[in-house]
Amino acid sequence: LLSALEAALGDEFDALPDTVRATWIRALLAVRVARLLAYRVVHLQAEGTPADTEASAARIAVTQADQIVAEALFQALDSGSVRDSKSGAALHGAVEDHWRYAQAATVASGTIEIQRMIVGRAVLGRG
Amino acid sequence: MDLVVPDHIVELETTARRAFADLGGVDLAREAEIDPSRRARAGEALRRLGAYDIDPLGGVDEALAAFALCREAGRVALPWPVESALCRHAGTSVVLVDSRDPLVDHADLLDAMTAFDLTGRGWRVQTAGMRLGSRLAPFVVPVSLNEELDASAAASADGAVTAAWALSAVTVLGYVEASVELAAAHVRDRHQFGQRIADFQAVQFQVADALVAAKGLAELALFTMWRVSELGSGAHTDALALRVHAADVARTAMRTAQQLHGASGVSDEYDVSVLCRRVQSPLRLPVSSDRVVDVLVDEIRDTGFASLFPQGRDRPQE
Repeated sequence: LLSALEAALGDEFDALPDTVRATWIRALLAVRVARLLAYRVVHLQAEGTPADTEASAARIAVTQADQIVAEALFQALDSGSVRDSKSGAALHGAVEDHWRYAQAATVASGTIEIQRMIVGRAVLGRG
Repeated sequence: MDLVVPDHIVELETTARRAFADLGGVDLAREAEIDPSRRARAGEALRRLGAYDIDPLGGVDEALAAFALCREAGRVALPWPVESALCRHAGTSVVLVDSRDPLVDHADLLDAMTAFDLTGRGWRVQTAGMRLGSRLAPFVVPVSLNEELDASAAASADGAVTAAWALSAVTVLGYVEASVELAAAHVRDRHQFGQRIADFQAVQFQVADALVAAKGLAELALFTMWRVSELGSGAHTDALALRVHAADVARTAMRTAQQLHGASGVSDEYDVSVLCRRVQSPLRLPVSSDRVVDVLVDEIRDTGFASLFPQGRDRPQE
């Protein structure tokens, strides 16, 4: 979506406020980092190494990346962000759809708080 | 890319960690502030580790060796200009500067230097004054930009400049990882209000977030060094992106690490205090990460950003 929106905005992209352009960079970075953490989990699993902590770490990074991306896209879309596919949204509503999905990302498949508990206990142990 | 770090690089990292610990670890950084000549011990240790034979652009093994040394140096705030010593151009050390206020960490330890700014302009430089001696930058030295390189000479150093940007962020990674580990150990060991500090859920969550951020930065740094070894200056965008991410993570994760130490976090008797203070030189120099972001936006628009989906000019032209 970051790619598609940049293409859809064309020259308008360069007219976005600098802060939005900076948010876009950080969204690209969040996606790259989340992907690398996910690769690490897959690699460990392929080796047969237990990867529970890494999986939770990756899950935290991925779901937060979803939200960072959603926020970056909405900032770039401006007032157009509240439209959906039926009311003339950019990219046929894909951004609006992603934003709504992203709000639930840190809840579905184990809330981010549970993932944090798993990572925290792995490094801190239990009292 | 290969996710597996080869055994001999892991071994180099272990050897370097032991060597820097033998120098006193963070104590060497403390001692050097009182007596800057103590920095020579770090230089000598690096020589014994073979650091001066490593060319970060000499293939993936050497890039990863440079990665290992900078990361370990960062873990103890090693008082030596490791990245500049590793990144060479035409027999000189490559240093990164802001041309409006050129400052170089440990410039007094480098023989011949070529300085480059964020736009890729290059100059022969000399030291131009004393070490700042400030709390946040004890070994930073002003330099004078003497003779500017012509565009083709500056361009021929592109690969080394790219490696220097990336390795400066790898050094920051070392500071981040060490600080987060110290914080985790502190809250495991110390008790407050009748229980381990680590048993407070608010503390567990902060440690978890800092740890995930550090793990993510480590993966990004490894990936970026692999890109640098494959593409040289073609990985310039990746190196600047790593630099931005390292600054973002350092600010948040090291702040957490210091906060979780309570009052000890601001006492230099504790390593985390020294690390949080001394990371400011590699973090703030040569320019703020917001300036890097400014350049990075245009660079990604012009040259793209490797991803599953095209960004900027990666996109097939219609």
